Amino acid sequence: MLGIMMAAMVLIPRVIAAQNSNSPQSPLPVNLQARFRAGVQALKSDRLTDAQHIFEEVIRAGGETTAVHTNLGIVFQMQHEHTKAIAEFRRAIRLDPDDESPYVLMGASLLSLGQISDAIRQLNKATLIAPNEPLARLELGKAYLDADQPLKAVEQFQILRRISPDAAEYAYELGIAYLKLAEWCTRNIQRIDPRSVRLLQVMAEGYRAQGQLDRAKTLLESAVREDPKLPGLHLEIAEIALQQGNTQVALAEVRKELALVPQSAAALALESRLKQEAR
Amino acid sequence: MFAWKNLRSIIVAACLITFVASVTLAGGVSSKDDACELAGATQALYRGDYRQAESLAESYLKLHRSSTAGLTLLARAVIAEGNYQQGLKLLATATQIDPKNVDVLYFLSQISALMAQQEFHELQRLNPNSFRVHQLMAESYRSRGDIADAVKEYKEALKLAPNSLELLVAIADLERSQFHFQSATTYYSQALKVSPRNYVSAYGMAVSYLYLQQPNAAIPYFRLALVCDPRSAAAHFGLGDALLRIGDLKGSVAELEEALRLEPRMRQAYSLLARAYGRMGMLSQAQKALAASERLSQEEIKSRQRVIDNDTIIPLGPR
Repeated sequence: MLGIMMAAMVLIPRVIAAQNSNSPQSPLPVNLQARFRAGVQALKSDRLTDAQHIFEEVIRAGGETTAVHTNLGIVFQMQHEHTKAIAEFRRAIRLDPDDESPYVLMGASLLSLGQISDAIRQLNKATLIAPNEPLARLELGKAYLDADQPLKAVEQFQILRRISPDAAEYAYELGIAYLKLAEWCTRNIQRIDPRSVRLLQVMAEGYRAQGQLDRAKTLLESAVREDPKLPGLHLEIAEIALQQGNTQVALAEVRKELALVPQSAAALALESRLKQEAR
Repeated sequence: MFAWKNLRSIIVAACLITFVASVTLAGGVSSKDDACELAGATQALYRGDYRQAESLAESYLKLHRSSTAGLTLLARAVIAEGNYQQGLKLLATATQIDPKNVDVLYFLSQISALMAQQEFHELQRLNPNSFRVHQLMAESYRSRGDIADAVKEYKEALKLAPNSLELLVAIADLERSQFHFQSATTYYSQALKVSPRNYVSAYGMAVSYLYLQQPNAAIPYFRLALVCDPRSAAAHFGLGDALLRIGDLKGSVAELEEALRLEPRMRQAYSLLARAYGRMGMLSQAQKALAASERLSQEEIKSRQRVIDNDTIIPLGPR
């Protein structure tokens, strides 16, 4: 919802600008322009009911333009009246199919209504019209996350980061998308093979990060029992043992790792470190 | 039962605290044929000769374009060389070819977690005072079970972004989990001001009121939650509970039955339903509901016992 509000706020000036520029659509009649500006002012000041009445009045008086419908849609969106908002955005699109703003806004409203695939369709149209429009990428990325398609979300947020490399918020969004991708992978591993050694590993790594070293070690030991030849497990146990100050166990585990993978640079390095510490 | 929520918090912990991606270490190739032909590349990877591993894997892929084992090995080599983006791309391709390959999914999760960390560092570099930094810290504390510090960080974040729905809901949920229901309602109500039709806020508010023994206050929020998500068995159950408490037995039965239609194994719904039927004098229905509740309760005890007997069993989620 915050995203929608933000989208709405940011797009207002653009819509106004479009109104005053050489829009492909017929311009707003001169006698309605002052009223339209009053509506924009009301919208900016959060007087949503006033804004709604003014824009409806402008439309009734013949001011049927993309900008007016888009702004009326924004008003409805901010009032959480998404169905009405969508209807206005559709009208705006009919008048000017090449303006990306109503597609982005409609996508956000569709997302709020849980109509994710429709939202994705509209937001994709927006990115085709304006590939470098950050809000379109942002909303599309969020839509893909809602659709549980984190790989596609990552793609959108990566583009967003390229478009606006200095925007901290987008770094956050991309980070979250990566995190969701990691979760999605683990969820799928769990679904495909609930007893997978990989799942044990993921959990062990999580416990290790939480400082629950004993639990992490127990899980890794279970993983070894399940797949004694999988490289990396003994090494992880060795690292945990070292963290726990148990050098002897660490050394024994690292040797087991080397028995499996004699050339393992990481295991050799740990062994050498452990030997030095033992001296 | 080890719920996905728990597993999720562990993954988040891994990503947010000190995640060490072991992409170069944890082995795994798909088939024996792949293993033999990729043996050289695998050995090169283990001994730390990433260029050689990359080159051998690339040669292999020229002959076996859609080999997930080849793609995974190449990905691990390029990741080890620091080219995370390329590694991610290769693993994404591999998972498209073979979506059920758990090795690919494992490495994809590893690199994603690593790249998440990288982005969070970038966030900190770009705007160290951003509310997002405090939010991430709060989530990190929460995933470690350090609730007091998590709340502190959320509150810091909230100072910078007082209208953030995400923050308001997160802190409210946290307060609710700590049985600080009065405080939870304060945050949920702020969240509902920001987004009047937010299921999580409405449901959280309702549950908090129920715990505060104010069923009359809870009812409109359960109803609001159901407007947002009519298929929420939890909200139907909560509403049924609240209606039962105020003596609206007919209403309560309707909601509890709906909860059970949506989630037939909801033991607590049977239990309340038995009570409601009993108070309505419908004794045979009450007995049936009670029997169902007891049967489910026994099943839960057995399932819990299995987990206790074998601490290392993994979550087995819904089968």
